[in-house]
Amino acid sequence: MAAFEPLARLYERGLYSHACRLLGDESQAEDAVQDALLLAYRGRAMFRGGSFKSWVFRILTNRCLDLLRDAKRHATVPLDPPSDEEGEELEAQWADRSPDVETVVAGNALLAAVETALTLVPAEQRAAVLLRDIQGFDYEEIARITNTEIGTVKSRIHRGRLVVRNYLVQKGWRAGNPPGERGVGEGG
Amino acid sequence: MTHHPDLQLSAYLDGSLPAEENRALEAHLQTCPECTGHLAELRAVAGLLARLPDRAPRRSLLPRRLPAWLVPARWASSLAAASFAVLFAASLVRAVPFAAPTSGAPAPGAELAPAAATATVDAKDRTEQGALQAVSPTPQATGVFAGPSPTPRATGVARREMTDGAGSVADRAERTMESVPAWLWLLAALASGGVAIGLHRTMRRLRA
Repeated sequence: MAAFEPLARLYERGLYSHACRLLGDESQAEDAVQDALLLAYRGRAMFRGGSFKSWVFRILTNRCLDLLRDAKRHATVPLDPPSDEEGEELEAQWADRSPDVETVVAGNALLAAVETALTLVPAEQRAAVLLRDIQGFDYEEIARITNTEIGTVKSRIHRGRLVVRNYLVQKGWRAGNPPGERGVGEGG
Repeated sequence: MTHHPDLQLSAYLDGSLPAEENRALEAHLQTCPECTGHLAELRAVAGLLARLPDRAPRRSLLPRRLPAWLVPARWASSLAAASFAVLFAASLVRAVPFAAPTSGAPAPGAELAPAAATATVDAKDRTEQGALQAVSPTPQATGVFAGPSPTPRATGVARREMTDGAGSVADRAERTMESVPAWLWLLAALASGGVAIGLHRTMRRLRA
């Protein structure tokens, strides 16, 4: 516990944010993180080095995806509005990237729009996007965390980002225009 | 018709394309403003996602650990509650057959066993003289042991001396029982029992 607790405390917020965005429910996210940390603590003897962060995010992501699958099985309304096929349709909308409404969504409002856009991304794509763009895992780590091939990870990340992009464009966003926006690897 | 490698753009952005595909894509980007625009948008989206703030949970989500003192404290308070309950019961049993002792009246035990009462009085004397007797026995005590036919009082003293420490402890416990009113034992039993229940509930809450 002595070594586990500081590490768990270090990633607690990141884990909670990840679970919140995956599950879309604060109480469920709290329970999922608590379960994941408890599983990690009980299974700490089986942890054979490597990245603690990667290990605990793997437990949490799988836990959240299981919960979403269970919920989907019992739900009457689909939890993921656009399916993978619909994602392809969204991808086909590249040509339509000049919005009619020239609304520039700035600052917190823009980030709130990004949060909303994330809810429209199918769960497995969303998990990949969150692990890449928010938690900073590389593709190989994401493949290990989600038990998939790297090709699948590439596809999920790309399609997930497209869903976010298309939603923002619908809301009047254009790359390069919004204040405070910066690209990947351009600092911070 | 020009092929636009859309699916590779995110992997290129993240530096996850194999070297050969990377070179081919860069060559394509130099000649395709459409894909260059897509790449700029994806970079901006990834940047926005990276700027999303962490959320704070409303409570600690770390596995709860029982404080080290909690288990022994619960056992100690339970044991104390049981002991006080026994003392309370013993006080009641002692109080029932005899009248409650008042200040200045002889102890109930004295009515049944004069020798024991003498021993009690003698033990009191010894307590008062305690340390002095331990260092150098008084002539009286020496005389008791040396005398050929001990008096009843001397017999009591001798018996006390032979039983030594155990007898003193029993005497002290007996005197304590007599001096403390029964309700005080009950109060102590209830208080320590309350503490034990509280600690037990705390443990259950932490383990939940």
